[in-house]
Amino acid sequence: MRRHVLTAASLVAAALGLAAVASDEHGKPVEHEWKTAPVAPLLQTREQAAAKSAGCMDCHRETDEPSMHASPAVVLGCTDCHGGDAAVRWTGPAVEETGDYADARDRAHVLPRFPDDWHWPASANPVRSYTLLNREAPEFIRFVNPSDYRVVREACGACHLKTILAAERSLMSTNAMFWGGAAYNNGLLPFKNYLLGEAYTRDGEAAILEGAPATAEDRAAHGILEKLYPLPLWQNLEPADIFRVFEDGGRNLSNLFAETGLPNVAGQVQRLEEPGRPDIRQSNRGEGTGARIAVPVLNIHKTRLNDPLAWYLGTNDQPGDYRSSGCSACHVVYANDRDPKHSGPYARFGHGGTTATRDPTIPRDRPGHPLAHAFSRAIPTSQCMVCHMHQPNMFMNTYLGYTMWDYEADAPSLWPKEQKYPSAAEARAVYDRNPEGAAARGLWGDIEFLKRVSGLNPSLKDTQFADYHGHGWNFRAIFKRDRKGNLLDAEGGVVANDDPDKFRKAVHLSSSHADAGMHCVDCHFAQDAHGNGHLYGEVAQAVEIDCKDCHGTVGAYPTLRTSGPAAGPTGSDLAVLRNPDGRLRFEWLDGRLIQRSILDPKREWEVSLVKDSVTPANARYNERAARAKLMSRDVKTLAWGTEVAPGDLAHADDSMECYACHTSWTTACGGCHLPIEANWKTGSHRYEGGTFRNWSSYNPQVAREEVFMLGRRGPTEGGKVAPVRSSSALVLSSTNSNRERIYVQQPPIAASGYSSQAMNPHYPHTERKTETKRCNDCHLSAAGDNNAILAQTLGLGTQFINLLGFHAWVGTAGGIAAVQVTEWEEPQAVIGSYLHRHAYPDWYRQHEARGQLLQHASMNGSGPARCLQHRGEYVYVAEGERGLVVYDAASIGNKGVSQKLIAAPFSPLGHDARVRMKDATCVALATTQPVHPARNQGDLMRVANLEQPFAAIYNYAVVTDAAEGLILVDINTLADGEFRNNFLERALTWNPGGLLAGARHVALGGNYAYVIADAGLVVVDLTDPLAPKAAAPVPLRDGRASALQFRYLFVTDAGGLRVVDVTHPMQPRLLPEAAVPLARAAGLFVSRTYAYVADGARGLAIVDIERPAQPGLIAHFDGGGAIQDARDVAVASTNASLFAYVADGAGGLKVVQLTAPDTQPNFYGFSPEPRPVLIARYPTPHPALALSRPLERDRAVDETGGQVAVFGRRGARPFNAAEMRRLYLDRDGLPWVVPDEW
Amino acid sequence: MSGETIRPAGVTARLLLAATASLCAHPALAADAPASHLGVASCASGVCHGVAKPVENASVLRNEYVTWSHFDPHAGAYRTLRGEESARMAARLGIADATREPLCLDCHAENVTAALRGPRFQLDDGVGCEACHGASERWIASHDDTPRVTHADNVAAGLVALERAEVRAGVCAGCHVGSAGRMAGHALMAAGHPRLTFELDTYSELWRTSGGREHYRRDDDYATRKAESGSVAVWLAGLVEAADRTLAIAGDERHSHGVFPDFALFNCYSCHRSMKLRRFRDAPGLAPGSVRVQDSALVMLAAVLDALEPARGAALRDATTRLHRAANEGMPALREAAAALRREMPALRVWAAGRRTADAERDAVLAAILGAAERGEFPDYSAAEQAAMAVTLLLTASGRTPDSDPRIGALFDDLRDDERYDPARFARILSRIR
Repeated sequence: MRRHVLTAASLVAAALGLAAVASDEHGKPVEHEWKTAPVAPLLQTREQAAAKSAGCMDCHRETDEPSMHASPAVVLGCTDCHGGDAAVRWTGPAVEETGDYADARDRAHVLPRFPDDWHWPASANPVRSYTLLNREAPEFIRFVNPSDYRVVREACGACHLKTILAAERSLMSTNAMFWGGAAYNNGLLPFKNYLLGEAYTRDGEAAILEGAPATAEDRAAHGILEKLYPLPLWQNLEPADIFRVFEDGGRNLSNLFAETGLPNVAGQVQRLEEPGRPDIRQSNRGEGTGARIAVPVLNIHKTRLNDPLAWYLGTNDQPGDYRSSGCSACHVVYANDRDPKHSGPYARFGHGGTTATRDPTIPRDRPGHPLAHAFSRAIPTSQCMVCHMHQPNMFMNTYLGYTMWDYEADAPSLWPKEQKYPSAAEARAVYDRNPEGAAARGLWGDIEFLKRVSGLNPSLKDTQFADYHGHGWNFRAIFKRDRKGNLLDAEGGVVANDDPDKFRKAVHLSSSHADAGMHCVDCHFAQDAHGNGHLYGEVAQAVEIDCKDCHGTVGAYPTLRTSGPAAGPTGSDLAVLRNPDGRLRFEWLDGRLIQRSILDPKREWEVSLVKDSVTPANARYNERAARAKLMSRDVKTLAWGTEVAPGDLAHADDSMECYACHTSWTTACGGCHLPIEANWKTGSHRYEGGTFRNWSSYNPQVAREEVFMLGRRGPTEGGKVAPVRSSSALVLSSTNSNRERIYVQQPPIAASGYSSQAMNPHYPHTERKTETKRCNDCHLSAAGDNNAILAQTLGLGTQFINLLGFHAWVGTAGGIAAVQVTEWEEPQAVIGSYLHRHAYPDWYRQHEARGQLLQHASMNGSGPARCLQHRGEYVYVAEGERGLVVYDAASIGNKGVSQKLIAAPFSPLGHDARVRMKDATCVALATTQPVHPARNQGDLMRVANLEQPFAAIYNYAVVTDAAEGLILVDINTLADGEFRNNFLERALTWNPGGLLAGARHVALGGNYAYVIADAGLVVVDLTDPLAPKAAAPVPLRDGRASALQFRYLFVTDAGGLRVVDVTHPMQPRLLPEAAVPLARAAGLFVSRTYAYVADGARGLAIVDIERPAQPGLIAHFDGGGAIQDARDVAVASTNASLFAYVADGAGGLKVVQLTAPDTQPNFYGFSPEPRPVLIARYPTPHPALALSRPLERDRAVDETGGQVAVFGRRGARPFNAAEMRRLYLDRDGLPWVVPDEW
Repeated sequence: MSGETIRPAGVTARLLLAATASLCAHPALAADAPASHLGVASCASGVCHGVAKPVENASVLRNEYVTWSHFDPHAGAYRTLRGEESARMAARLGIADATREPLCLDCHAENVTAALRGPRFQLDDGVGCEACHGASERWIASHDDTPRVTHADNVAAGLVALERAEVRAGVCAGCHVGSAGRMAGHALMAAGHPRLTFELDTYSELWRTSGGREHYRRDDDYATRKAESGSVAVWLAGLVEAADRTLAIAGDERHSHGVFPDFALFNCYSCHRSMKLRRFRDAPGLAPGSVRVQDSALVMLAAVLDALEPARGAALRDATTRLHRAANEGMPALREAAAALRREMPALRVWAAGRRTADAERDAVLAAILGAAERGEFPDYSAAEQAAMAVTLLLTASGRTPDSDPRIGALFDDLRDDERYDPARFARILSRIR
């Protein structure tokens, strides 16, 4: 199959070459003489139509809606849509097992090219048919689904051509938001005006899509794209991520290609091995050849994430996955979910994909059949959830109050008692349905168990599960909780964790719209579903409905005209919409706006009107709503009310999305792991299909609900303030055909140079009336207890959902130790943890039997690593008199490489990443997320992509030297994919008047470096990194280390823990009352409302810093005396649990589980109180001194407004410094607070 | 309702605002048809008549449903019953719920029997598509299938041929005048129902362009498919229909109270006028103080016949006088007189339908009306209303008045308030038009 349509962009030119791919996973083709039936007519007489149904009805007898349409105005015969021969007649029973019957059937029906794959003559949608539709004869596709986009013009075009053209271009068909986002966020394509989208010709070939005509101004104003190109083949695209194996140069394993024209036939040149030079490169050919290819594109082709979308049938293999393709993907309802809130009136039909048709020929018990032969506009949310259940696919579980399960909640009920050891075949059978690596080991990998998961709810302790399981996944319910994680009822009262009725008493945080009985289609009407004919790359741009269209504003009642980004100049007229039962959808009755359910003719509700809620005399007046909506910008008086001029409103609807406040929770995909393996031969889900080696499982790691952040939307949505979510913060691994891990848990870098730990503004769809954001979610509380909350809201990160993955990076007195702390298998449970106990009971028992000793570590033998930072494939180490040394750790998981931590991969002549210093004491990077500022340059980034420039600090590693002061080293060459230029040099040495003598620790907060030196805390302004400025030192008693959280810097010194107010960093203010005396406070780590301080022999001091000005010691934890010399600590999450990693001096590494479902039932809280349990240890050969900070997965922006993480959506960004300050500082720079009772 | 740019809708609107602000309609023929009403939603699809904006190059505008929804007063007919004023009226009349009361629903909704309501039919849609166009069950699937299916075929299947004046007159007058068994009687009026005003041509045009949006467009294509009656013919058909229906009601026992017919059958201004007004008019053949039945259509018809067929005009006047006299005698006499007059109506209907609207004829009719006005033959408000609308439509039909003719405006301004109606002043204003 050729890709003849790909001509325009050099990008897609790369895809041209690939020849036909064997489709060996498909059955043998059987060719027929297919006759294309005439196009279904616009109009005809009933007699004419009847003639086209005559023979069909001999067997089918009766059906639900013969024309599929409820309207009697539509006159169609069977063959008008399906083709086939209605002249073939049958006088016997409807179903008969005879040759005559089969003969008549085969003459009447259109026959498939791939009868085995369709299970001909069975009529059910085959499971996971994917590209079968691209191979099959269009006449047969029309026969099984006349509304499939490949053939839809023939059946539906006479009446609905405009809608067809729009629907093919809608994001639900093109998938452009996912492909574009994935391409940009992973550095594949540098265009935020996306280029890629899915579409096919009638013959199933890849198609370029052109959008409806639009002016250049409209394109710019609305984000309208001109064209979408097919996804290139991953096999010959250059790699997106410049991991070390993808860098040019080096020698490689024996060539993958048949060589021609070489002087020696044995290909000896390629086999040349050079002594001492690790053989780890992917190819000796150019980019886009051999294994030097685009791995993210492989995932899009093969790993079941978003797919299939509307061009394909659903996978029809598990509850939540039953649907058709094309128009029928939505308009024909299948049985997917038994919960009436999700399925409305269809709930009673079960979730097994079986039919309730009147047609006697359709088996009642065979899944994959629609409920009825009828189109419906009464589309239940459960039908939408077939696709909208994955993070980059407009994650809509939130609407129903669910998010992805994390493998930990109620683990005892979902993991087998006996550890499973799935064979490759068993695992493959599960992964074909469900790409979660963990599923092969869990009980839910068994589809019969999966179907019954929601039946477990009455016996569950930690959560409740939804009744739909698209992709084979489990979805856990979100409940109202306080910040400590206590379950709350509607009045805010705490519901006891041991209350057997707790999940009925606690508020399930589904959208209040869902609670009112609304389904997706009750807000998103025809245009939102079909699109408007333009091509878009961003979901929000393609939405025409806006909150105010139905709810109005503080000053006006709703117009019932759509006004969202995709609305036309006058908007769509909601007042004339009619429901399937014929009633008006919206109607004003006596000043009340009534909306009637599309699904349930008996259900209607009154729409809340914003104006009423803020009008004091109105019966529906709500003071809290009025205060929030009518608050003035005057932060000194906090005056509010109807007298505030519209231009003075603090929360005006033209500058803020309604759901910035009306959001009860936001989903946070705080990370997922895509481990590619060369030895999984699997089928591609798109285009030509075919099977290839290489496949990746999909492993959500930290799916949380309490990560609320704000940022700004791009200009096409008015640049409004909106919630920001962490969206698919990927880490990638790759195992080659020799089972060598050629990279391990690497975060890619986005095309803009920002970290790929992606964020984006979004609409959480969790709006509620009571459980909204409160004043103190975004502004300083009078009680002074929301510093961590604000750090989260502003996107600064809270050091809670950090990734500390396969290895803990420990600095020891004798070099670095990379200690393996998790399993490699999925789930990557921390060894010895709660999850480990349930997912791997055998291995857990063995671990316990070994005295909790971890087994594997890689070490180098260099100087003392007193301070280190792991980032990407490098480890930055301050090694005293050896200076700053940057080690290449790319091969840390590679069994084929003996020395895994090396200073010079190519000899010191070709690579020198060591900067000599007198006494390097500490190194810090502005972010632990890999970034590459050099990519973020030029008009493409500034103008076309509307990216902000990087702050200059991101070019450097910041080093303290006890003798030399502050040293900056430009580290950009390590991220540029060029192996020949890695010669690091110092860019700045700065120590004016010996101010930084004895410098021993540095922490960075945006452009400010917080240096601990002999003089105490010295804040250094590095806005211009090569021209630093220092503030007057804050004296300390032998300061040791510091950690920053928003307005406060936590410092350890001889006296213990101290707190410095750094609201204005250059005017640091030690809070004399805020002190926690500790004997040997050393390294510390601040994670949300707790500070963890390494306190020597006493172990780990856990300090409550919810009110930073009044820190309070909660406890010391020494693991029953096991921790004897705590020097440093790092905190990170794995799945639903929080862990501390302790550098315990001579005791080596200690792993402490801080929360677990069995020790802390409040583990889903924003900051549950830690319940430390020692679970693992590794005795490093030299004393463990330090820990690398983990990957900060929720840090979108730094404290001075410098962007860190890539933001999806053109022009979207985190708050800049001025915007952040407006939330908590008045014009005089003084903090202002909101009353706690607000 | 503010259609100032459309004439005669604009000028007529002022009149309507004054007198009949919440006037509503009735689906005259619907209940008689055996086919089902499938409901507004059956027509409202975005691929049929529910397109947001008028479609060019199509036989119809295709946004008729949207226009109806937002601009057609018929769409709000049922909603009116939900209003506070309707509730008050219902209370006065001892009706529990106006929205369920057949008396109200018969004109404020498509109150067909349950058996004739399709699955998507909604009573609360008020006077919907099929109230006028007829039950769609038998033609909905085929009515757009041109050229295989002609307008005549559709009409044969139950589509109402509204382009024909006498058909439209029958549909509209069913509510706007009333009919035997279904009328806004004196009790309803007393409870607060507005007085009914009706003139078929004026109302047709007013409705066709309500809100400044066309319900249908009289373009070439329309003319090809439908031979629409001219405005004078429509006017005359309306007059005949109104007269006929008034007489039918007058002759119907159901609308009598003891010796009297329902008072609503009488000319309102026979009684409803200030006692300070001294406006005695010597009505030939009628004793002073006689109340006259509602005769505005008959008076207007007589004026037209005066111009074109004086003998028939005189006969109609005599018969009208006999009717008035009979009304003062009691029900049996009235029934008899009404029946006698009604017997003239078929012939008049035929006569009206056959009228050419040549300029000379129109001018003669106009002169006759103006003459009648000068003679004081429009002594009360309801007759003056008819005269004003008639004069306007005649001038419009002959193309002689610009849209914004201030004389027409003055005419309707004078009729703004029925309590301030002065026949002499009205005659003076009317005379300027001559």
